[in-house]
Amino acid sequence: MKAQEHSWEEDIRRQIEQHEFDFDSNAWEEMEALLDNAVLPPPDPRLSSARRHWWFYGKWGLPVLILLIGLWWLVQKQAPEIDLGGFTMTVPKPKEQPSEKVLTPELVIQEVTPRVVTRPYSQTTKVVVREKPDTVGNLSENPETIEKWPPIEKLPLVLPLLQHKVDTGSQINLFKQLKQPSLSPSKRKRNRRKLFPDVIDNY
Amino acid sequence: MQYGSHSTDQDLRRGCLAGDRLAQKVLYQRYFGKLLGIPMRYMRNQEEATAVMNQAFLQIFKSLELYKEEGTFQGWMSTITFRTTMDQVRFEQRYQERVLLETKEPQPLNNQAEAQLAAEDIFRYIQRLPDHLRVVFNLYVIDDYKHEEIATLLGITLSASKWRLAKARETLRAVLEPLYNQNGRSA
Repeated sequence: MKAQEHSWEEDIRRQIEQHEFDFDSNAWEEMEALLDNAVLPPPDPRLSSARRHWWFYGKWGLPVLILLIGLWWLVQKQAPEIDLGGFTMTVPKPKEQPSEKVLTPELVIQEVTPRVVTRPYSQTTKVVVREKPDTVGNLSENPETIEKWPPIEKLPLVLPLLQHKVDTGSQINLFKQLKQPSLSPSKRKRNRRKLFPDVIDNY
Repeated sequence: MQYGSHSTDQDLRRGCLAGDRLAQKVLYQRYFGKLLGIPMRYMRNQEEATAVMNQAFLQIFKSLELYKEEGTFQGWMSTITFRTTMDQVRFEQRYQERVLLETKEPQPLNNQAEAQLAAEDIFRYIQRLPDHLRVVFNLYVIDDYKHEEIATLLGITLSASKWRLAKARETLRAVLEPLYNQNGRSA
């Protein structure tokens, strides 16, 4: 009913909504005057390119952030935290237990050979060849490649008293011969007559 | 940053928030023609409409930080422009004298109107309505408001709203109907 009576209104409405006016430069001049006199909110410093920090807005911000998070995660992973009811402690990660090795001839040779050689073998050093009966037995025809140890001399580090004990088989009290200082609990008296004879005489 | 016609609305908003005058101009230029239609149909002429729209743009620049990317940006600006226009209408309702259409000498239509009624001529005819009739007509016919809403918006009674709409229709029909019939349109 309404549409039939006022179809021209629909026509007007459509034309008004679709119409776009041309830009008027005078209108912008008036607008500029308004903007100059108006109190606008202060510019947002975060949006100002002059104050923008490169590490925050630049293309490097995200990679740097990811790198920092990754480092933090690695540190956290190496030292797990254990919460003991309000007491938090950091436990270092235990060293990895060596896995069960399969004994190969090369491994056996490596284990038998001393790892640190601090001095070269002298010409007079007697070469001792030791072979493990079960594993190393017939691995190599040349025994020099298996093991070369210097001869072990008698240790000179045994204390004389201990040596005596070993020789005689008697028990020795190492502290017996030490004289303990006597600690007298009473107050020590000073001999005033000896210390101040002239004073005592005058008195 | 150099703003221009290639700049997106988001870039222009950011520039306006940073106080960039060029960004404000590009944004104004982009939406001037689209938003001017709102005050044009409520005001008496283009000068008044432009003044109202500048006030609306000032409000837009002030409250740009409140825009939350919900809905279209043009729709958000249209709402601000409409509210600014209605504020002006309510203000003028009390102080401006009402000029009746009958007292004015009808202006000649432009040459294009002989073949087709131009949109700007429609604006001109609507603007020649008395203020109290024009506002109700625009609210009801163009902006799709109900009589109850118009009565609340303008602070008038429901019957006054209906009477003003009927009077506006009668007046406009007397002017526009012959033109529509002349161009083979049904009035």
